[in-house]
Amino acid sequence: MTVKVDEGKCIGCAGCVAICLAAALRLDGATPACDASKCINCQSCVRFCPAGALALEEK
Amino acid sequence: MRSMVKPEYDVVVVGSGPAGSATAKACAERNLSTLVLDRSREIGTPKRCGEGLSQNSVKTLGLEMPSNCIAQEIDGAIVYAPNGKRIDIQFEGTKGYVLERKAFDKWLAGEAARAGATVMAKSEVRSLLTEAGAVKGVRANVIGDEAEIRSKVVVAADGVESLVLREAGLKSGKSLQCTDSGFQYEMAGIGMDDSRKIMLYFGNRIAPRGYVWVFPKGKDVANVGIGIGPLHNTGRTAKQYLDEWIASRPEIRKGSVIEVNAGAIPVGGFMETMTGNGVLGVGDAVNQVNPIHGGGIAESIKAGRLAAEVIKDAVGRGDVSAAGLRAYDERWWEEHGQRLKKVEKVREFFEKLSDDEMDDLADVLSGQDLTDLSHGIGLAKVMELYVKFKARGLVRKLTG
Repeated sequence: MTVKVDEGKCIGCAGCVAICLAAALRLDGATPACDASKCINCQSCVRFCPAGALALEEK
Repeated sequence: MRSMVKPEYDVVVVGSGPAGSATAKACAERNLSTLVLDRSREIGTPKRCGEGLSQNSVKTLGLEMPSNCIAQEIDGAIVYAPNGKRIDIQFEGTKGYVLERKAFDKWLAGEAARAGATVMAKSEVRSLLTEAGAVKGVRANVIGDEAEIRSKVVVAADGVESLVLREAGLKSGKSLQCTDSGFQYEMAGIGMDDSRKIMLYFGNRIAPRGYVWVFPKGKDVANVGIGIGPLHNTGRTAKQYLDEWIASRPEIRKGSVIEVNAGAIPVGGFMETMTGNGVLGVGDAVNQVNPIHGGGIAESIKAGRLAAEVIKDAVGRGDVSAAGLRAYDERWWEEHGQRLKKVEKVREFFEKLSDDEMDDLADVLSGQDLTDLSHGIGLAKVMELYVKFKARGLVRKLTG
């Protein structure tokens, strides 16, 4: 799985990076980027995102 | 800007928020050569903060805060229960501030520089230099130039998402249980009950596990924000909760949005181990935040000073290993952690309350009780008051 970022909604707060249990997310400039090989599909980032900017999708 | 940065320092501080600048200033004052790297182009931006700070916390800095850091002086708080009943907290003999974080953070960074540290904005740490399981410095992009900078100690003051602590193997992700999801608008042209009071609105329908805040930054300007526990099961985001609250308040809804902020707010989960070989963490990176109100500036500053004392000792002894830095963990827990752990217990109590129970509590609690609770004091008294209140209601029902 990987994390799809809605850049129109993302504030770039990096909260998802803080929450990610698998260290799959990293801030890449203003928005997060997901390393799909690390993502464990736990949904923590999706549940956390204050702006509703994240969704999981098949790579 | 390579000429400004040396290849080696005693201390490299990653992040120039209050935690990083306080640590750097205290290190530089102890004659440790100190470099601060901050990834933002402009220190203090973007803010991830409601900007409230008590006067006592400013006193812990031991510095005269310049007036441009203060957006609004505050003399009290109004806490609203879910049914709208208000509890007034009048600050006795001490004031509070709503800051202009952009000015405050730049001022603190400047104070670190004045003490002898070198501070560099737009300087992002990419990875840690490690040798035999010990952190030996950082690889960073310093305003466009790649650099390897060695140091005896690297301080992780790089916020909730701390790359340094992850790279050093000191932590994985923060738990959803101990992290609130925050969203905020800085708004202009709004109406407020009292622009010298911070206003807090509680209720599970308003903000599950958290609250909505209105922190005035002037007569008609305020940070209007929300923090919620992300484990609620409504499928709604912090932004959606905040938008709904604003929609229900004509005096807020009529305003404009002049800035949008978001962020993760640590509300507990204090770490036993914040130190490793050649590395330690301060501030949001290691959850040094009051779990009731979510304020972290005061805790960061205190921890930063403590970190500098321990680093100075460790460098002096020539032992910056985890064992050499362990005194930081021990002293932080003794001086701050035990107290904050009690505040976390209060937070755990409050998050179990229904809206009806919160309404009941608003009938029995005074402003002073609420102030005590935010310091982790008086939970037993609150429970006693509540039981008496419910008993009186029961007696009235049975005899009425």
